[in-house]
Amino acid sequence: MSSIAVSILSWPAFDALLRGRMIANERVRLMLSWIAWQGLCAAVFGLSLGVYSISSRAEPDYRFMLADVVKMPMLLFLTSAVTCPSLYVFGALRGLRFSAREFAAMLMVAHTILAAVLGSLAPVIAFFAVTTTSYSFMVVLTVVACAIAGILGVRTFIKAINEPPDDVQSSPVADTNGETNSTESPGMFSRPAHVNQNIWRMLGWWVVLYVFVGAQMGWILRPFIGSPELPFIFFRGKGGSMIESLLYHLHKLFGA
Amino acid sequence: MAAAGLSAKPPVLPGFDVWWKGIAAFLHTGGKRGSEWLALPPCAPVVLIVVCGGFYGAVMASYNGFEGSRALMVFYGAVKVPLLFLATMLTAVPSFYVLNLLLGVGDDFRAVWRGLTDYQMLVALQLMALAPVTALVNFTHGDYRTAQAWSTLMFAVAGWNARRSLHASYAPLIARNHVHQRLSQVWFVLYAFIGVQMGWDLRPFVGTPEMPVQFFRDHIGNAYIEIYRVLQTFFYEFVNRFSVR
Repeated sequence: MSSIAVSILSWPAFDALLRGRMIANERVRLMLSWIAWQGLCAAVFGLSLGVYSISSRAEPDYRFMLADVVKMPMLLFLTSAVTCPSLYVFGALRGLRFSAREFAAMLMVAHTILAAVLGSLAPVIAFFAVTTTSYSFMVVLTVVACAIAGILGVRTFIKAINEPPDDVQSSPVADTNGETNSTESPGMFSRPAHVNQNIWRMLGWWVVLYVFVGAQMGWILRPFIGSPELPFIFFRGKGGSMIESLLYHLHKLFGA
Repeated sequence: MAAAGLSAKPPVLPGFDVWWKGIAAFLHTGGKRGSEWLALPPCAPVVLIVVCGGFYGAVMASYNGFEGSRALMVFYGAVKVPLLFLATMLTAVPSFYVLNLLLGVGDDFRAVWRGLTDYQMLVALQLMALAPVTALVNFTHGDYRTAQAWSTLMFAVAGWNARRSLHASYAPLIARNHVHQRLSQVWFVLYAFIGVQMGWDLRPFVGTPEMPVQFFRDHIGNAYIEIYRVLQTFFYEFVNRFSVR
């Protein structure tokens, strides 16, 4: 039993992924590993989110931490489940060659990166949770952490989409007019020559949809940090919106 | 095992993987039926339109939950979206057929009809893929207007995107006779024009919480006039807000 867990939580695979040395069919083959790693990293981030409700309250409430450990992986998995079908249909329709399984694997890889970044920021969150009393500051800090992780995750995803097909990869001298590209270092979101403009535009719209779904999903799964005035609850339920709340907290922090 | 003539015939109930392969090939070619499609029964487009459209309709109508008579609304939604597609097709096709005849391309209509079905099928498939997002929006937003606007937006997005399929099936026809170019544009406009009004006639799809569950609303009205009124009210409110008394 434990050997299965070890092989799924394979460190070399995770390490190779972070270093950007992942090949397309490996991505699909190691799907379970990505799911396991993103769940683990997200749970670590959840732990750090729960620190605030322990440090900020007169009576420490550990239930937030337990809930966050479950809810952070849930946030990632549910977001993938909601956005994956439209990604496949729109991607296929726009002429991307990947199968549904490959799209799912790309999303899982992107989410693993996202979760890894979040997990690496967990000590930062925990540090501020212990030292600050401002709830608004914690909210804004968490949103910023998620935004950074999201940008890096989406970047990986776009990179994976842009990978040239295998036949192009095997012959690196394929593009003979190599005076402009090849020597340029790739930018953060640069588009290689063989990616169609149409696909690029479609991806942009899908990323907007993805961000919207992710934000909304995070909102219905709240509370993560837990306002010190409110008692513990697993879900707060409907009402309000992410943007409204963020603006409110920004105003509280920086407003007069 | 089976005789050659029999084995060439597609099975009545192909397995899931056969369906999936057919649909995947259809999507990957931008809305053209590939060789994988031949394994599916001839009624496959209708089945897909009804199942996918119905699924989206059910998700859309789940805005008010499933309690009591609201569960009936979910069922109505599942029936009404395929009905919307069917009714729009049936209303738009006769005039389009006559137009084809008059412009001298009536003989191509079998291929054209197939292209129109593919278009409809692609709309349904996209809506199916967007259904989880709509479910999330319905679940999280207390606000009825948002749910309504979102569902409408999804129809618009799917309809607009599916023009790809129309282009794909019209390409060989246009190569043969250039009048098809104009005709495909006419179809899109005709279809959208009728579809909007049909959507209005067949409402409610989402269902205002204040109004009872009904299959159709009593007052029919005209979608374009209603849209004009909404814009008018909006404009007056806008002017009133910023005008100096």
